[in-house]
Amino acid sequence: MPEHDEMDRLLDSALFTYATPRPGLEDRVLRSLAVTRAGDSENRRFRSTRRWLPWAIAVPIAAAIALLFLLTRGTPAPRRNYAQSVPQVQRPATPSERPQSSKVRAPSRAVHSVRRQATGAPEIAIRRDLPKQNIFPIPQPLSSEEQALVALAQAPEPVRQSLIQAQNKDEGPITISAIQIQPLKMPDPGQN
Amino acid sequence: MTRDEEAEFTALVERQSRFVFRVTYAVLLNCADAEDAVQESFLKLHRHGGWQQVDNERAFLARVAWRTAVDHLRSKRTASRLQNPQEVLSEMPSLHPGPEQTMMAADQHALIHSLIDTLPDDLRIPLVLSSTQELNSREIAAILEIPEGTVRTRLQRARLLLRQKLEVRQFRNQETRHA
Repeated sequence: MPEHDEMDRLLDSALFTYATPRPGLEDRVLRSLAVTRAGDSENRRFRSTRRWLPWAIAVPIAAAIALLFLLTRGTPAPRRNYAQSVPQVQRPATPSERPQSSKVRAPSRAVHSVRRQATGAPEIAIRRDLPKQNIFPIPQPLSSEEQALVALAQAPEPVRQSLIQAQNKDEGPITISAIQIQPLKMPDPGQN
Repeated sequence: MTRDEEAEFTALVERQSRFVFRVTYAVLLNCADAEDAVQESFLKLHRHGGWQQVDNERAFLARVAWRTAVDHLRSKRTASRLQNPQEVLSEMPSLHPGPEQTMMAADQHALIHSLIDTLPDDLRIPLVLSSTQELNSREIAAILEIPEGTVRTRLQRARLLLRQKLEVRQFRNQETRHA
């Protein structure tokens, strides 16, 4: 038994001195901690300064996508008041013409949906309808020849007759004198 | 972290780094790796905090150190196997000289240290943790996540094994002297 006690004491004392670190362990640990902390703070600063970088990439991309979407969707046709832009021409009213006061109704949504189903075209392909005109086709302004013809028709009879006679007189046969071309003179040999 | 907290943490490092080293060395059996694990353990504590609110400082530190050392050992073994499988056996040089060299020097403490290094992990780690006077069987059981009875059994087996090995060495030493 005394031998066992001696052995236990020896084991305990050996265990007490087991795994003794090299001197200066505390200093090394504190130094490495300081270095790591400095690195961490540097990383944090770098991350905070570069925080705008993802936004700088994401925002232009989002804007480009939005712009592309708007362009492909199709811009609505400019609404022009053709009745105001085109000069009004007096025209005899026809019995089939609708009264000016009646308002033109836009095609209903039901018609639109039927058209979409029938064609099967995507939403983007559908264009907005142009405003319906009261007069169709749109009257164009008279050209200069037409205006002259109207003026002739509205002129009094003696003036019209004199104009017709003057025109007939001008329409006589045209005589063109013959073209005379002088023969070319050949240069003397030896001269440039 | 405030200045007071920094000062407290520095005091903790100065107070407990040797103890943490013992725990990590018991797992890793390598001086340099054990030091790395010590630094890693304190760095974890510094980053995550929680070291000021613990009841048993040593048990808490031992748990952190043990986990860090085990992770370190796993990563090192994986890396060694990937690099060169033949070097796995020869890795991890011990802090202590070999049993034969120690016997020649007749340094009994160094001999026991080298014999502790040869113990299996499940016996060596509880033995080293128990040698620090402030950790009892219950605390060691909590650190290693094993039942308290298992800790006691392992401690007895470790001591018995060490004693047997030491007796064999002493007997051989006497025979060598007589011859």
